[in-house]
Amino acid sequence: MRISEINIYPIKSLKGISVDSAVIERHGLKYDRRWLLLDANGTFMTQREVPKMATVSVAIRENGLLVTADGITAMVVPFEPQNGEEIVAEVWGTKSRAIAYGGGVDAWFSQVLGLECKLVFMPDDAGREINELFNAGDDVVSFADGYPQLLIGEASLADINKKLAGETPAVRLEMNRFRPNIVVDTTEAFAEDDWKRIKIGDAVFRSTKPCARCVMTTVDQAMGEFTGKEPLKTLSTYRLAKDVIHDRYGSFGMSPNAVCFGQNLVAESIGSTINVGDEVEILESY
Amino acid sequence: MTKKLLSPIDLGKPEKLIRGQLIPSADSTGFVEISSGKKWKAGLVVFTGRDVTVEDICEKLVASNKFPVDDQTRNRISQMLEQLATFKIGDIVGLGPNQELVRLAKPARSVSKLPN
Repeated sequence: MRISEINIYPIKSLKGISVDSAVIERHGLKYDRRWLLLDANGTFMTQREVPKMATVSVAIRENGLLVTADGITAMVVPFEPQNGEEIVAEVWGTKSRAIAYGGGVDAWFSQVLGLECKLVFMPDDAGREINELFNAGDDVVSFADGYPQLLIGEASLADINKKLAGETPAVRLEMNRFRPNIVVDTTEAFAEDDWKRIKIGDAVFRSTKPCARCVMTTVDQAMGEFTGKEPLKTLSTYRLAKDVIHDRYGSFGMSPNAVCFGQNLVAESIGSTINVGDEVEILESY
Repeated sequence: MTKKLLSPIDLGKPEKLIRGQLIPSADSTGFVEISSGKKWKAGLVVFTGRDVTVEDICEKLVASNKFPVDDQTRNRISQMLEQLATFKIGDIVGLGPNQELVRLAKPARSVSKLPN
């Protein structure tokens, strides 16, 4: 098995970027979700409430992030704000120090998304603690929901697409619906459920728990709109935690009815690089 | 060993981070910021990205020239670092009568839980 895709999502919930290789940092893959948009109340913003966020593109440039959206001039956001206000940013109840941009950067995003918002950056010496059940000590994560990396097997996507093909009208999902960082060219659907420790190239990762999926998977990533109840409706018929990891969902602190798709990972090889084409070796299974 | 430290926090504005580094005050009434000597009632547990030792903090105390760096100070710092390892990043803590860190109530603005 090999890696077929590596994706990063520099600004949480905006469009992702496919890359050929990525450096593994303590918080996750380099540039992945180190930036976050907060609303006027200081609450983190995602496609769950603002699906249009999916349509804002981000590219990495030498001098910062190039952000583009329809109907407005593109803007380069410096990697780190200069003299920005330091704040405490919170995502799903866990907090981190962050630095705010303010000024024109916030105005750009507010205009694009149609609501007042502000962009913040998580510096290297900040981070959010991961779930204590899976924390080996000082494991931290960027502004990603809960864990530094998400891995999905191609065969898993093929499996849900096979089921959705029978729907009327037929639905076919792209991998970006599930926003993985690492995609593996598996041949067995949901093989990743049972991976406990894996090696990608020279880098070792331990899995934490399957990813519990939410309403964001129902957002069409190209249109930035909710498009019905799929794939959650179909996944809930055969991918509930109580069915697919019945022997361990309790010890993972998961709801029995959590809809599982993809495997959350924590890297043990900080500083290593992973590349598309790297071999994936299963070191330990459940 | 821990990678966490305490930053000052204004309980009236918990979303605003204030630069600085706290240690427990000698009289157990709260914390003091090591560069300014200013007193604070509460601290925010922050991640530093690297292991923090008693010596790291003592060096800054010596540089600030605001506190004596004696055995008692070292003990207070050591006790604080030991306890910090058991707190979560983002916790807001106060100081108990025996120099123990005490988790204070979380501010009201806490958005739900991660879907699990």
